[in-house]
Amino acid sequence: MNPEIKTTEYVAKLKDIKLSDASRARIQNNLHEYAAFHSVRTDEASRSIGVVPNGTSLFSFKFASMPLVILLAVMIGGGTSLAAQGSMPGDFLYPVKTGVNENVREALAVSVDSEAKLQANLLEERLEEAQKLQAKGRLTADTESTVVANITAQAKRAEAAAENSSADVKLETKAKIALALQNFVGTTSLDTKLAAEMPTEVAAKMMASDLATGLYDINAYRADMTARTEALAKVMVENKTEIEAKVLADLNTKLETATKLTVEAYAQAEADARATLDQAAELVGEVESKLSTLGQVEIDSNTGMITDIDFSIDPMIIDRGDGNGTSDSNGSASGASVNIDTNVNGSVDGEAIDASTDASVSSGVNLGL
Amino acid sequence: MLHRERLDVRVIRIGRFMNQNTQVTVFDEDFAKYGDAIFRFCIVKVSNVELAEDLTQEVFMRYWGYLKDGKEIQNPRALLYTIANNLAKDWYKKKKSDSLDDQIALGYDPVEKSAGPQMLAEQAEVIDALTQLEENDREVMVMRYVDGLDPRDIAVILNESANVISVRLNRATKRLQTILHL
Repeated sequence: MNPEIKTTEYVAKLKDIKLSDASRARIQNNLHEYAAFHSVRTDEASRSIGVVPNGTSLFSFKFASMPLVILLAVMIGGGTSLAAQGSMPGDFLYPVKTGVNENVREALAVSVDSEAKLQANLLEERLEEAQKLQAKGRLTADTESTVVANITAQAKRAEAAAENSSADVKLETKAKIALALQNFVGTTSLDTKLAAEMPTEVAAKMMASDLATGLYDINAYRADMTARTEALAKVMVENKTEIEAKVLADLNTKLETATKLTVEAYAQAEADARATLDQAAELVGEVESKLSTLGQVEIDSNTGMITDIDFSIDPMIIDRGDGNGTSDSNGSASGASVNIDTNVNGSVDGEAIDASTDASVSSGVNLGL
Repeated sequence: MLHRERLDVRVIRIGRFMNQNTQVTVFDEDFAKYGDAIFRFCIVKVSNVELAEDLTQEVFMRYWGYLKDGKEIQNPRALLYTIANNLAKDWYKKKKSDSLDDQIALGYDPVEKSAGPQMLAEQAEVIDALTQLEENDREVMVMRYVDGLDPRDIAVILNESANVISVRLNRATKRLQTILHL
């Protein structure tokens, strides 16, 4: 036989070499863990609302996008409370279920974030202008009033826009706003007037130095997690008879672990504390998600924490057979001036929400986008 | 030390509906399809089963980096080989500085010892024979005659011209013949 062919055949014997089943399984496992840890991120340009990092729960940031929530709630076909919308853990805002037109969805996603950034930048500009006017000696009693009014209005807009934006951008822009205001204090003669005009929350930021120094001040984070775990513990104790034993046990375990971690975080240095608190936050998120599938949750709109559950009402989008619903809903939320008056007809068949809605949204919709 | 994967990875678009689930599915499929081939490639490169397994895992982890960014990969197989090639190169660089005793101490057993039940004695023998070839020759032999890659694909992966690959294949075959006393 041709020696060359013999050689190549010889080499070809290696064809059957494979990973052993055990090794393959082990490697596959490791790969999955790795992929879960380094999970998919989308950047702004391609962001569709349908992508959320693993482990994120709705409640892990301070209930952003409230006006958006209302709009979408209405379009789905049930104008029940905000909380019902909140009870779609992980799936909330996903267009597949909400039926929101894809372009609208994309437009919303892109514009809320750019809007937030834009408004924050505009605030910086207003503040700079004021400083320049001061330097040029052009701040008379009259002009002072106008300048203060402008700054105040812009600060309000920037805060509102930041509230609407996605988690990352929200942190970033809020810090930016706080920093800008913080740096402004003491540089002009406007401080007193400004403090008088500013809405209290925004004014507080001018005074608070901690927000200006970090994206999410570690002390605030600790306090926040403590409050959340405590609130949840309270809710669960109050409602323990309503929750199935096994589920309750599981939730309790998670909550205990989260509480323990939060306590640990107080003793740790900032970097470690953040990591620990992130872990706790994930667990808390899981507990909150689960709870919101069991009943309709009530959420404190300021803190984003669950304060109560009503087990007599099933949360939306859970299979409960036939349902025909009509609802008149009025929604209004402060901050972004949303006012929606609509009549919505919807019917729910089995699991899939097939909401044929006639949603006429009045011209009063102003999302402040 | 990381090498940039030089390859025609055409970024067509960032998937609109790409998400963690879709990408993990692709990831699983690619591992199922190419896992063994990469494993073989690595064995031939490093002559050790355990190390080859570790390298294989490493290759796919780096591959995930491309998937998670949503890049649409024209030739996943080629990309995987390229990554494997680069990683093996890095390993070689490290290895050259270790003495033989160090190597054994670190567990770099010759293949025959480390081969598990899944590898026939025959196959182990082939691999050991291949280790007598130069690295360049070895890799083209495996890619061509074990994995059936087209010489042009091999050229792309190894960043050489097709001509160079053909010549190398010829030469390698002849050298192996000598080794096998054919």
